Amino acid sequence: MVIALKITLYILSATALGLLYMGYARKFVARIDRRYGPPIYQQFIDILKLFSKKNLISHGVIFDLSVMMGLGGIIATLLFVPAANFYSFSNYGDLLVILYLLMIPALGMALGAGEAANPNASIGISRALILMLGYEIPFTFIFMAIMLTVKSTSLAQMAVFQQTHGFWFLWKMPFAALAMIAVLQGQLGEKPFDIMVAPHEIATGPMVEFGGKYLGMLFLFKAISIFVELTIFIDLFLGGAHNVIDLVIKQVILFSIVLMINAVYPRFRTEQTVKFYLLIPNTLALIEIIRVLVR
Amino acid sequence: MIFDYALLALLIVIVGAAINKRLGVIINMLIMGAAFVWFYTMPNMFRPIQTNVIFGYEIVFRTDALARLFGMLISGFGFISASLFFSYVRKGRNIKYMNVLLFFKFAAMILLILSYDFLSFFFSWELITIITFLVMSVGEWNNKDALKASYKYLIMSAIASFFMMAAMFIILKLFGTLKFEDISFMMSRLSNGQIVGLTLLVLVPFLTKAGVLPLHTWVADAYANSITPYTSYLTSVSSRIGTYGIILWFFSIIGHTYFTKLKIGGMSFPYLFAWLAALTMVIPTFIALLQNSGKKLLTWHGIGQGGYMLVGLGAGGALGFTGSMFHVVNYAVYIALLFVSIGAVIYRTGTDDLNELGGLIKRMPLAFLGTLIGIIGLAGIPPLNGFVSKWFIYKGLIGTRHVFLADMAFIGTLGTILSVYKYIHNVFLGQLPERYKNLQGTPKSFRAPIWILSALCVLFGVYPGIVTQLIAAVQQNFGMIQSPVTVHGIAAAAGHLNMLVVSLTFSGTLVLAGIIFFLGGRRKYVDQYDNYAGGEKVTPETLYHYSAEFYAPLYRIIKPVLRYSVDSFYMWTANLVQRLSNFVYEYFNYNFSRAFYFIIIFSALIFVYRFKGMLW
Repeated sequence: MVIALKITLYILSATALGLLYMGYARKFVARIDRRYGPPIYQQFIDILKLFSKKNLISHGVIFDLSVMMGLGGIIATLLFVPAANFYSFSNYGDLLVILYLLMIPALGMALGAGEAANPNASIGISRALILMLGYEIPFTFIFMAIMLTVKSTSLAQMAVFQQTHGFWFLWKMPFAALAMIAVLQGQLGEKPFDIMVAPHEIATGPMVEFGGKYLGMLFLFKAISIFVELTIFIDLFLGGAHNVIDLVIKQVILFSIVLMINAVYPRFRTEQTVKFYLLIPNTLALIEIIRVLVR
Repeated sequence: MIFDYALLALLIVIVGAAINKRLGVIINMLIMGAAFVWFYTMPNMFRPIQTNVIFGYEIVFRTDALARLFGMLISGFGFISASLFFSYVRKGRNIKYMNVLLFFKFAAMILLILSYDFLSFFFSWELITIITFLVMSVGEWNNKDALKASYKYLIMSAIASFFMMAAMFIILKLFGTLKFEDISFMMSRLSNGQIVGLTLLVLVPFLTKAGVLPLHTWVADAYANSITPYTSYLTSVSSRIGTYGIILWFFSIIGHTYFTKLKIGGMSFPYLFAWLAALTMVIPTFIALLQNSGKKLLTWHGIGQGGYMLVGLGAGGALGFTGSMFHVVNYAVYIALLFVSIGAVIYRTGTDDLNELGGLIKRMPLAFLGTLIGIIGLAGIPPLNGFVSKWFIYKGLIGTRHVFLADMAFIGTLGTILSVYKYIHNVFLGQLPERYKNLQGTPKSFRAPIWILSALCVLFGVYPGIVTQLIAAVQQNFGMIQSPVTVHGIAAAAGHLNMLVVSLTFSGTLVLAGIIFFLGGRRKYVDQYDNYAGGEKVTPETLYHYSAEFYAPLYRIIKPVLRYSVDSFYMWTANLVQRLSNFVYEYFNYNFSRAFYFIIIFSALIFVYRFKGMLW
C-alpha cells in the first residue's frame, strides 16, 4: 500500500516538475530574447484549457490509442528509472529495458500521427525517426563505455557505483559526457535538432492533427519525458541524486545548458543532423570506449 | 519404422488431395498437428529411434532436446501455413499440387532434424534443396520472377552442396564412419587446422540456406515471389534449417569446448564467425529500409534477423546461446504473423507495393493488429517476444565484453524500427485510396492464424521461460553451462529482467493513461478528408499521403554506400562463365576439324601420360 502511494506520488511529482520545467524553458528563452515571457506556471493553465475543450476531433481508434500509448509508455519508463535513490521497479529492468521502453511512446505517437492521414504529420515522423537513428547510435556507444566500467547493465547500479567511488563519470569520462550532451539535445528535440516539429516548415509535424485533450496528453507526455531524459543523464554522469533537492538542482542546471544551446542555434536540416551525429558524438564516444578497453 | 509411417502419411496426403481440395488441406493439418504432439511428448535426452544399414554404413535417427525444439517449430508452423490454403481454394490455383508439395517440404525437414549421421543428413539436405526449389517456383504473381529466383537458389545450393559432400568424404577417409556420435567422439584427434578446414566446408551450405552474408543473394527474390502460405513457412522455418545445421555442427559434433578454442590465422574462429553474423544483422536491415515491396522488405529483415541468431552462438557465451536459440522461435512466430497479415492484404488488393497502398486499417483492422504486434516483435520493443531474446543476446555480448558486436546489434535494431514504421505506415495508415473504399475484410482462413500467432507473441514475451527452459535442456545435452533462466526472465543474481513486471507496469500505466483520456470531453470521429491543409480543401481527388521515398534524407546518405553489392559480383561471374562457354561453343560449332585436332592432341597427351614408363 505504501509502495503504491509512493509510486503515485512519484508519478505526480515527476509530471508537475516536468510541466514546471516546460514553463521555465519558455521563460528562460524569453529572457535570452529580451522578452518578458509567460509565467512559469503557464503549462498548468494550458493543460487545464486543453482538457476542458469541447470540440474534439479524432481520426480513428488508433488515433485515440496513440496518445494513451504515448503517455502510458512514458510513465512505464519513468517507473524503471531510479530518481533520487527511489528505485520503483529498477530491479526488474535494466538500462536496456529502459532504452527500448522509451520506444513504445515514440511508436505509439507515430502510429497516431500516421492515422491522421496528413502528410505534414508523416514527414514529421519520418524526420523524428531519422533523428532517433542519429542520436541512438552514439548513445549506445556511451552507455556501453559505462557498462564496461561498472560491469552491470542496471541504471541504479551505475548511479550507486559513482556514489560509492566518490567521483562522477562527467569528470572520469569527459568525451562520453560531451557526446551525451549532444544526444540529450536530440532526445529532447531542442534546437538545433528540432527538425521533427519545425513549425515554419511542416506545421508542427506529428502534432498537426492533435487538438484539445489529445494535445493535452501530448503535453503531459512531453513533461514526463523531459524529467526522464534529464534523470537518465544524471544517473549516468552526475552520480545520481541523494535526495529530491539534489535531483532538482542538477536537473535545472542541466536543462539550462540545453536551453542555452537551444536559444542560440538555428535549426539543422535532416541530413546535416544525421551527419553531425554520425561524425562528432560517435567519434567522441568511440574514443571513450577505446579508453575504457585499454585501461 | 520411420519410413513406414512416412510412406503411409504420404499415401494418405496424396489420396486425400486427389479426392477433395479441402480434404487434402485438413489431412495435411492433421498430420502436422500429430507430429507436433509427438515431438512435444518426446523426452529431452538423446534417444535413438531407428538404426539401419545402407551400403554398409550405419545410419541413425534420434531425438534429443535440439531435435525436439526444431521438430515442434517445423510441425507447428507447417500446421499454420497449411491452414492458409483454405482461402486459396476459391482463387483457382492448383491447390492439390501445392498441398502435396507443402507436405513434402515438411517431411524432408523432419527427416533432416531426426537424422544423426552424415549419409542420411546429406540425403535429406539434398531432398530439401530440390523440394524448396519446387516450392519457390510456384509464384504469387503472374510472371516468371519466381521461377528465375528459384533457379538462382538451385544453382547456389547445388554448388554449396558439393562442399558438404567434400567434407563427408574427408570425414569418411579420416574416421571410417559417418555416424555423428562417433565423429564427435573422434574430433579430439584432429588438429585445429583440420577442424577449421572441415568447418569451413560444412558451413558453406548451412550459411547459404540460412542466408548469411555473402551467400544471401538468392533469399529476398525467391521468398518474396512465392505465394503467401509458402512465404510464411519458408521464412519462418525453412531458413532456420541452416541455423539448425550450424548449431548441430558447432555444439553437438565439435562440442562447445573445442569450438570456443578454434583459431584461424591467430584469431578466434567463433569471434570471426560472430562478425560475419554482425554484418548480416546490419547491412540487410538497411537494404530493407530501401525496399518498396512489402514482402521484399520483410524478407530482407528475415535475412537481418538471421544474423542475431548466429552472433549469440559465436560470441555470447551461455546467455548468448539462449538468446540465439530463443530468437529462432520468436522470429518464426512474428515473421509468420507478418507474412500472414501482408498475405491477407495481397489476397484482397492483389499488390504489396508500399507506394500504392495506404489507409487499410479502416478496411482490414485484424490484419493491422497482426502487423502491429508483428512489427513490435520484429523491432524488439518490450513487452513482446522479440525484445526478450534480443535482451539475452545483448546481455551475453556485453557480459563477454564484445562491445562492438553488441553495438552492431543495437544499430540493426534501430534500422529495423525505422523500416517497420515505414512498412505499417505505408500499408495501413494514412489516406485510404478511393479504389479500396469497398474492400472486403481479412479473409476467413487468415483470421485464426493471426489470432494464434499474436497470442504467441504476447505469451513468449511475458512467459519467456516456456521456451528458455527448453533451451536450458539443450544446453544440458551439449554439456554447456546452463543459463540462469526463470519463467519471467532471468535470475536476479545474473541481471535485471522480469518480463511480468515490465508488462504489468506497462498495462497499468496504459490503463492510467486511458483514465486520463476519458476524463476529457467526448470526441467525434471525422472523415480522412477533414484535415489540415493550410487552408486548402482536401477532396477524394487530392493525393494527400506521404509514402514514396519515406526516409528521403537518409536514403541520400545510405544509397551511395550500398551501391556495391555481392549480387552484382555473382552476376558478373555468371556472365563471365556464360560468355566463356558461349565462346567455346562458337569455336567448335560448325567446325568439326578444330574439335578433331583437340581430340587427337588430348588423346595423345593421355596416352603419353599413361604409358610414359613403357615407351622409353
